[in-house]
Amino acid sequence: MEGGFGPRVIFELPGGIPVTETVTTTWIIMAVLTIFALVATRRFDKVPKGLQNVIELLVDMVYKLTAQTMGEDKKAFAPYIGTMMMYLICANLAGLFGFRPPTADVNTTMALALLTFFMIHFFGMKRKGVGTYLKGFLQPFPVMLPLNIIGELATPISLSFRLFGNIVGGLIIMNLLYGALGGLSTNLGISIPVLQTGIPAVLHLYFDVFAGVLQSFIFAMLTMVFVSGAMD
Amino acid sequence: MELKAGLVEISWTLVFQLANTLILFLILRKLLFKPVSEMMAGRQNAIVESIKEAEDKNAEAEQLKLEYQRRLEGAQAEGRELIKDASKRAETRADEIVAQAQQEAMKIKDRAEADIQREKQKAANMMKEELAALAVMAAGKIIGKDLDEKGHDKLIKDFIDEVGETTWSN
Repeated sequence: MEGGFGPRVIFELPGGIPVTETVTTTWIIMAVLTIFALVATRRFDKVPKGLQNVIELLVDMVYKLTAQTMGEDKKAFAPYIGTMMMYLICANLAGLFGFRPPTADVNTTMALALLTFFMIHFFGMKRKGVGTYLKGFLQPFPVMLPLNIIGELATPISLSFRLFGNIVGGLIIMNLLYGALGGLSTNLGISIPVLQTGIPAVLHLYFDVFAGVLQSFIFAMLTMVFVSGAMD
Repeated sequence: MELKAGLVEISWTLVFQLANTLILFLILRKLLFKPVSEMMAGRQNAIVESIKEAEDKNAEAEQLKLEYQRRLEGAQAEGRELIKDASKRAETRADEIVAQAQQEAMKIKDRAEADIQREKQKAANMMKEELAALAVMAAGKIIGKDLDEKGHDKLIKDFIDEVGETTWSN
């Protein structure tokens, strides 16, 4: 466990800017999703069949969920929400393929949470007008202004750390478990860590699949609720 | 030992991830969400349109059916009118023919009656003449003297006429 659980630095850009595992894994996910989108929409027909049905179901689901959660008039957010969900699910499941999940880096979750934060305030001002929007901070009493500001600032922090904590917690527990099982195998006198097979699968199922998908959904839902809440 | 970043440490990665997320969003919007949702919306519109078109066609067909029915009924009524007209004309014509025939028959009957009357008259006249001759002959025989038929002819005729007025005319 040398160097803790932080992401590895893969290479450094000139000027000493480190590019970590988080970023490279994200690039891989971006490439996969781009190829998926290209392949999926390559042969699009009026009468859907095969893969097209799956894509249509997926896109339709995202649009319906957005319309349901944010309202029919905010359907235009669907592509962003869909992108976020697809990216988060891929990122959280990346652990299954031996990558370090990009969401186990607070920079990733903070980036997404900051985008949500900017969306909340940008679209809130755009919809209500800057004056009306800012007056909202004085509700219900002007004395509440500091509390309201703290509340607004807490939103991205709670959003990002909820996701980060869930994923990084799973990552650390899995690492500890692998280490323990390896050590146990060695202590039992087996040179190959056989105990590392099978047993971690159950925990992978929980930490990566269950918690990962659930947290992706929660992040997307909260973004939708906050943004539409600021607009209404 | 490989270089690792801190576990909870805001770094340049944040900037990278912001950019990555936005780029991914733009890519997926352009390649996946826009085309798929537009395609689905287009298909939905096409379906709605074709359903509407079918409904319009149905309505049109219904209207045409009604119109044809109406026309058919009109034609039937016209046919009935025509038949009625024709039968009325035929009846009139038959009546005319019958009336003409009756008239004809009446004429023939009248002529026949006139003929009969004439024959009767002729027969009566002949009888009168014969009767006159007989009377002259009988009177001559009775008187014993040859009655001058010519001389007394007028007298006798007057007598017979007088008798005949009452005897023959009944």
